[in-house]
Amino acid sequence: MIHAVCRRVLTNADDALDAAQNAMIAVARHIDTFDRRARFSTWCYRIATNAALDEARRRARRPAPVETLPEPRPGGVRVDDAVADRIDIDAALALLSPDQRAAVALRDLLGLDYAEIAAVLEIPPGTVRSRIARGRAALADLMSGEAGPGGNPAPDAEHPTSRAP
Amino acid sequence: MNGPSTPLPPGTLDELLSADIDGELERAAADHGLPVDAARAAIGAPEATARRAALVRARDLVAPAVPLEPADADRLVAGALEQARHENELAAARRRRTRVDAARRVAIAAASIVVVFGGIAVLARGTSSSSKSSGSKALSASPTNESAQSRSLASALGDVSTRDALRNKVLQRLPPADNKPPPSAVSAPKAGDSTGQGLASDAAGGAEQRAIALMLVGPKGQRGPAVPGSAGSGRAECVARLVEHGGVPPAPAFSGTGTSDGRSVYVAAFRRRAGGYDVYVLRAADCSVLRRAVF
Repeated sequence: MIHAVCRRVLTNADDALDAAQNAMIAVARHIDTFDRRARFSTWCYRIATNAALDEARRRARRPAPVETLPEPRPGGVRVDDAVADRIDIDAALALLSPDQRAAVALRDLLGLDYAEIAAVLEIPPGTVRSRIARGRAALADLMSGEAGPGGNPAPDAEHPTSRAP
Repeated sequence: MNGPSTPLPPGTLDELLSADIDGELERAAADHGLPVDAARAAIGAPEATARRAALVRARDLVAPAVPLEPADADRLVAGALEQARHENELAAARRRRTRVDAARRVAIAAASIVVVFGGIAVLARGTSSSSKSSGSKALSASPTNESAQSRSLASALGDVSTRDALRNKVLQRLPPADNKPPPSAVSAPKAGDSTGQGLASDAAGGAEQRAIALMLVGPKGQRGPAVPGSAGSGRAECVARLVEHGGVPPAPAFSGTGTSDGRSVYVAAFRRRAGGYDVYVLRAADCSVLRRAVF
């Protein structure tokens, strides 16, 4: 599941492996500091999410190649292939901000409730709800053809209730 | 306050629908200042039905986990265990060094006392001794041209225009990628500090990373010949710029020269934490990243 979170947040197989590796090392390194205030799985998800978001920040700093060669597809059938003809999930998710992808992944991939996601991401539940809604709305618009790669990514505005009065 | 008869803004409707899909409608309605009944009426309207279905499809799209290849899973576990073992060894070495340092300080103090008292004794006897200076052999460690030449040949890759050529030529010059972490400046990210500050130190260490890269690659491209006709910066400078930019370890596992579609390029390979190598092809003329590949 650590890898699954990283994969959804980063939308790239190689970066996801790097982030998953960092997360697993961090789990091994800090296992003695786990204080049982949260569930172990929640603690692991927090580490995985932070590792993925860190990797996303590093990726943003990385210089972009000016030309690309076709990457060979890994062998084997992916679960995503079932819908690959209709939409490229990674390309769709890439339209969201990493924070939105993290919230959506924690909810839809792992099934955490809003309170748990808020604890993992250390943000208010209202912000969780807002990010999930905006993320899903952007994906829904993409599927319906209202947006596409290069279209407008969903803004990651905080939920009104989480703003300072 | 919005009533049931007032159309909700699309963003609010999306949020209420999304929250309802997740069983969190009451809280969402309260946060928007809506009575639950009004919120239910809004999301139950016929025009919201299609939107709900679209949001459900979006949810279902993200739900399946991308499977992890067993070999990758094994590598991740091995990498984590190797890192844990490495850190335990470092900690043990640190403890040993602390003990040795303490013993050495005691020994130095004792030796100092002996020297001081010995000197006093000699002075007291009023004797002097002279020592002849002995000629010292000049041990000049002249670099062997042979090894330098072989390094140069090893780093000249030739044509790397295709992915296969790049892969074959780079990998044959590198040891098989294991799971040992890359050099320490980036090898121990604090992804698990639960604060999200994980790799913040990368940026701060930019200058240091550049210095390390320059030191290891050599200021004048010592590991390989200069690219003929290269009007741009040297290989070391290009690699240092890449390192300084961030996102790669502070030192390449390999760097070399070559050509891509007739252009002079530099190639730098960095070991990845998850195994394998990140390979960058840099245009010699201006150090821009021409391609990036993971092998």
